[in-house]
Amino acid sequence: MSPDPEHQALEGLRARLAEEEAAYAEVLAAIDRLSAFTLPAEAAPQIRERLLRLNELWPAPERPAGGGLGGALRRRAWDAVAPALDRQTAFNAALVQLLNAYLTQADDLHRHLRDLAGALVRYAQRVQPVVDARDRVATALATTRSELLLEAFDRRLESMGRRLSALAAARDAPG
Amino acid sequence: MRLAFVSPLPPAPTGIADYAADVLALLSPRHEIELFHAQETVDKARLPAGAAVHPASELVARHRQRPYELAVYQMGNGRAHDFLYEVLSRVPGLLVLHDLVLHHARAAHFLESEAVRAWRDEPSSAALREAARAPLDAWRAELEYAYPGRGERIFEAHLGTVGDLLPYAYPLFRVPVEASRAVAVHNAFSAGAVRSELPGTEVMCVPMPATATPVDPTAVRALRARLGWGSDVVVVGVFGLLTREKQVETVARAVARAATRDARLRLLLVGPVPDPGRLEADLDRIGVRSLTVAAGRVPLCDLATHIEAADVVAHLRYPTARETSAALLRVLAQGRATVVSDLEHQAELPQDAVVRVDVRDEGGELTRAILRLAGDPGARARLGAAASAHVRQSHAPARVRDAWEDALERARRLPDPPPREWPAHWPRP
Repeated sequence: MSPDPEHQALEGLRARLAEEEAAYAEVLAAIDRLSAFTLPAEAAPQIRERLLRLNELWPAPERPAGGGLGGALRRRAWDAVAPALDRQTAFNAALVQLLNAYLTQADDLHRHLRDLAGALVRYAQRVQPVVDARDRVATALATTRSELLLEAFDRRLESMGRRLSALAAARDAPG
Repeated sequence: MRLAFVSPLPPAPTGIADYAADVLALLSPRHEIELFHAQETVDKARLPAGAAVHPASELVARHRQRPYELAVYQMGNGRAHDFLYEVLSRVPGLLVLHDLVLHHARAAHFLESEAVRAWRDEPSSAALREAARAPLDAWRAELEYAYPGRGERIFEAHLGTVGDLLPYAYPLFRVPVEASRAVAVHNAFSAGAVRSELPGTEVMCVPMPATATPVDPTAVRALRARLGWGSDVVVVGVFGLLTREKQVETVARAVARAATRDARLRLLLVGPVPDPGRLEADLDRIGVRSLTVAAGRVPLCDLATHIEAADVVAHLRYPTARETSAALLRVLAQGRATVVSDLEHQAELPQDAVVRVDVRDEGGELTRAILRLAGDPGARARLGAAASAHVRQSHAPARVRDAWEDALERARRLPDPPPREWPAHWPRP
């Protein structure tokens, strides 16, 4: 026996469902793929090392010490360029502070992006179960209606069967 | 005859285990019977003295070692019968179909398997879905074999929708019947249904045994007094496992409606309640809580007293697996005035032994029947007398034994069924 063909409307719905599921799977795979990325701090650990080095290097050297003529000459020369050195030190400090703050913010933002990507993947994975659950409720409501009709007809059929049996018995009764 | 009797046995919580004990008592004097089961404990005190009791897993090996002349399988629509599916096609014999519908239990075997339950709990898991594939494919193959061209749709409808009626419409007895030499049933309707679906099947009707239990009237009066009811009260009883199919809600509504015209009416519910919360809520909503005693499960030795405490028994059933109800036979045996759903498989009940209510309007007809019987003790007595006479005549132990002897002999003489293209998971002989 060949299988009963499905109702045409159901065939159309099934085709549409197959299309939507394929599109959903494609988007989910893309989100999954894009969500797997490496943070700059992980990809280039030397950035942090350099920042550490910058944090060590930004202060100006100490004023030369020592006695004698040599010492006095070095201090005099140092004092002559001290204003420029102080300005450069201040500049270095500001730059290093800026870099520190910027990288801290950038790291936080990257971590946040990764969390967001993870949440997006989890969200996408939950879409189908939510749709399934809603679908089951809708289906249950629809089948409840069908069952009410079926039960009414089934009871009528049972009742008619009994009446038919009684009529057959009356027909076959002797005399 | 040397028999292998494969069945749930006491104390398994199924009426078929009790039935097995009754039948074994009738058959054991004439036959050498070995019992096969798949339960943790067996109440040997309720079985014939000295009967050998084995795990069902030993059946095939014991049969090879020393063949039985016939294997007898007690099949029903409950999980307690799962183990029969592992052996009945390997040692073909006499299949006793207590329920025509086997679908619920067979579906549960696959759909409640560990793998499928795990997937159901986590439907987004591809690994769990893959693990569930084997039982689901086996289930689908079995449906397709039993209902060619429709199996896939039944499978999808079963998994994707809710409702009670689908399994009743597809009873799913094809493979067990095909795997057996002969089939025994308890009513003519079931016999006709098997013959109609599988022409050529050897089907025999074997009545269920039932006998009245002597009850002391003073014990009945004492019980009614304990329940708070005097002799003036008219008690409507419902007996058996109180599932939704017993239509307790319909009975409660009928009692509620009738009680507005006859204040003497009360409702007695006796039997295990699978969903007590729902029952309580129904009784409250319908407004019969104060008129009702839900006694729960009572010991077998007290059951007859509870039955006789009822003046009228309501035995409704919808939907039905077409089983002959042992609970119904008990109340008829005790001579109760009984109102039953007018169902085709209960056609053998004599017209004067029960009041039938048309299933199109059970509530209305039951209400009217209760009012009529409540007001007419003579009618109740006549119905009860006819009911107990019917049980004495049609379900007497001697008659049951003779029918069983005939069925055993006919099945013994029949050849094993020919091999079929069953689904791959079905065990081969």
